Amino acid sequence: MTKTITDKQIVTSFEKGINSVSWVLIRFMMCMVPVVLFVNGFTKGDWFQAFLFALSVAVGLTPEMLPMIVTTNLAKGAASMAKKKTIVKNLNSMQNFGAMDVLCTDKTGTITQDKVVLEYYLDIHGNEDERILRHAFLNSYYQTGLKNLMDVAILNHARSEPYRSMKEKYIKVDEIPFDFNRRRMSVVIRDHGGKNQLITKGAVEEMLSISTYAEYEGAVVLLTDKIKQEILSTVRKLNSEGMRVLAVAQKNNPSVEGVFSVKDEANMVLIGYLAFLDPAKETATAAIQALNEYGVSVKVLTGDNDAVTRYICKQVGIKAENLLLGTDIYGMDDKELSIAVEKTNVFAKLSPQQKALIVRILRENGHTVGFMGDGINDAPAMHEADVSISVDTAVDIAKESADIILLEKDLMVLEQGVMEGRWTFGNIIKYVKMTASSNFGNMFSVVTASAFLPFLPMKPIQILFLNLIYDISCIAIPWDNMDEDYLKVPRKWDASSIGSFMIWLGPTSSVFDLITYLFMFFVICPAVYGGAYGAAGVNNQLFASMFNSGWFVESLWPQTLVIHMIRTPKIPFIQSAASLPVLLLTSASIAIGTIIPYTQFGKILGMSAMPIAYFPWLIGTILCYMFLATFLKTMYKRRYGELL
Amino acid sequence: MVSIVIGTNFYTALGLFGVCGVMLLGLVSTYPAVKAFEKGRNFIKWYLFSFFLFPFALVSSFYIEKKQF
Repeated sequence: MTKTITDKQIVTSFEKGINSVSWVLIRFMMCMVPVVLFVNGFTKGDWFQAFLFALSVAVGLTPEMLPMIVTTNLAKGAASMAKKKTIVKNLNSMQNFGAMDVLCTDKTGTITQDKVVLEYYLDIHGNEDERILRHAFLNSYYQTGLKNLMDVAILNHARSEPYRSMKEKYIKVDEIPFDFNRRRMSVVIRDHGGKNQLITKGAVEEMLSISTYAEYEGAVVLLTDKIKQEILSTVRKLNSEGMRVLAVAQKNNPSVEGVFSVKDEANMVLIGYLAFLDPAKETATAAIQALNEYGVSVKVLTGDNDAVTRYICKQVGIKAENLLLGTDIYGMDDKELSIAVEKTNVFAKLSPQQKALIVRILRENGHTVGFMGDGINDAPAMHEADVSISVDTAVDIAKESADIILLEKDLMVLEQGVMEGRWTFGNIIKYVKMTASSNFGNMFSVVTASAFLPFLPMKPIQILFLNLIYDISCIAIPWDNMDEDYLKVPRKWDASSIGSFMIWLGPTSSVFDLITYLFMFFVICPAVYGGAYGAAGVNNQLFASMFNSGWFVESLWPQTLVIHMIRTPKIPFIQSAASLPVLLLTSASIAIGTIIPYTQFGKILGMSAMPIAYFPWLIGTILCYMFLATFLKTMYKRRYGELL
Repeated sequence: MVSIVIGTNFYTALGLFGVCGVMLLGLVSTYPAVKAFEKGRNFIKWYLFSFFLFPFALVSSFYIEKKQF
């Protein structure tokens, strides 16, 4: 178990995806820049200007805002969860939370309350007998390992003076600690007379297997099959009422002092059993229902027995018809198990390794798996899961293994976490797709301009400034809204969707860049400067300067408006509006970019003021761009099923 | 009037109009291809059909029957 927990955690598809997108865009840039350099160099002859232009295109194509957008989104999601009393230890887990489509959960302390109550202490015939409680008290009191909820329940129940004074009558000699395979633990105590006694407490089936005798009203009898069946029948009845049952056995003078071991847990005398009530959390049913509505199926993975598990699952609304036990899983190979885990919602009597195995198989089946647990036996499964969740009352190792810790007992925070995760992912993917498609489109515009225009379409300083305005307008993306429909289903990283998005939406802005080139080169600039470029009497420098300004402004509008176009499959502004920060920042960017050619600063950047006749053309271009982008968005959604 | 505007920039005009036209065609060709895809046809084949023979592809996409599998 230790080796499993200390193994390096697997890198998720999201982390790989973000890295690969960055590298794709960087490789894109590294291929594009030499092409732009050589085309401009050969066609214009000014290699220095061509070099500066290529360098500024490289800066424009590099996704410098990507780390900031990803980190800000994840941090914002984590901060929002902190307000709901949830600690997000690993920022990347926010995205995994949104991608999660299966939540595996332990039972005790996670969907049940962290408080177990001792209801009954019974002899082997089901009659109440305080002697059973006394033995159980000594076992729980003297064991030095982690006290679980049932030990705490026993110690809380046995608070009165008779029990307290028992501690004076015995000293502890040794203990055989609990482990999840034996499912029992023992202490060896000695009384003042020097008599050693081994007291063992554990799961009923395991205790019956090590007991040869049974004690009733002071008489020790052979533990016959009839008595075993009677005990099991009573235990099953208690389990069906939702009670967990532990059996207690003892043995006098077990072994030579100092050499107590597991082999001493044999030929025990079974004296009775304890029944504990472990009620479900009040919010468990609502939380599970909410998760189901949002496309997250819940599976219970517990080490407890099947009857109690069925009872609790029935209470919280989880179907337990196809329950599988740890012994069933033991006989299955990976192929059989990969089919079984899809059809089964409840797994009982699992070892820690089996819990981790089920999580691994679910992941191999293509699911994004969350695991919620609170005990030592949950740590391997938590380590295996895409996102691990624990509670504040969990043991240290569970909290250490967890990505997310719930400080409140309210499980509804799980639904909120899933929403935050999808919100976070949605805003990240908006930026990624927007940048990828813009860069792809810009590639066409820049290469075409370099090949066919007799001058640079924009000065290097203007490209850098345009890039700066665009980056500033993207700052607000982490605070954008998401459509309700988007949040309804799990959202997973899909690299192929980025490629297809790039190819479909990228050329949209390029078309209007080219139309702007044509309009500026053949209509506006000749009208202002009295002829075509290169004609007699035409100031070519001013011609080029006005062309640069025209493309600067036209390029800024679609590049900024694309945030509104691709953030939703619906009609922007009408059916789905961006958040106020996004609206304000994009509007300010467009306004500043449009005004700059008319200012002194614009002159410093080498721009010229455009004539009034330019603006009706600009508005017409933008409306046509929005129409074409909406058309392509719709076609893309019809082809691939979703936009983001 | 056109020669005044274009002047000696015939190469520029040809290049820009050509590339712009090809790109617009590439974008609108998605419509018949998507329509055919929704009726069970191969998207890539119909996209190429639409790109090279847009009017025929557009009309055909309305009249083809939905493929039964």
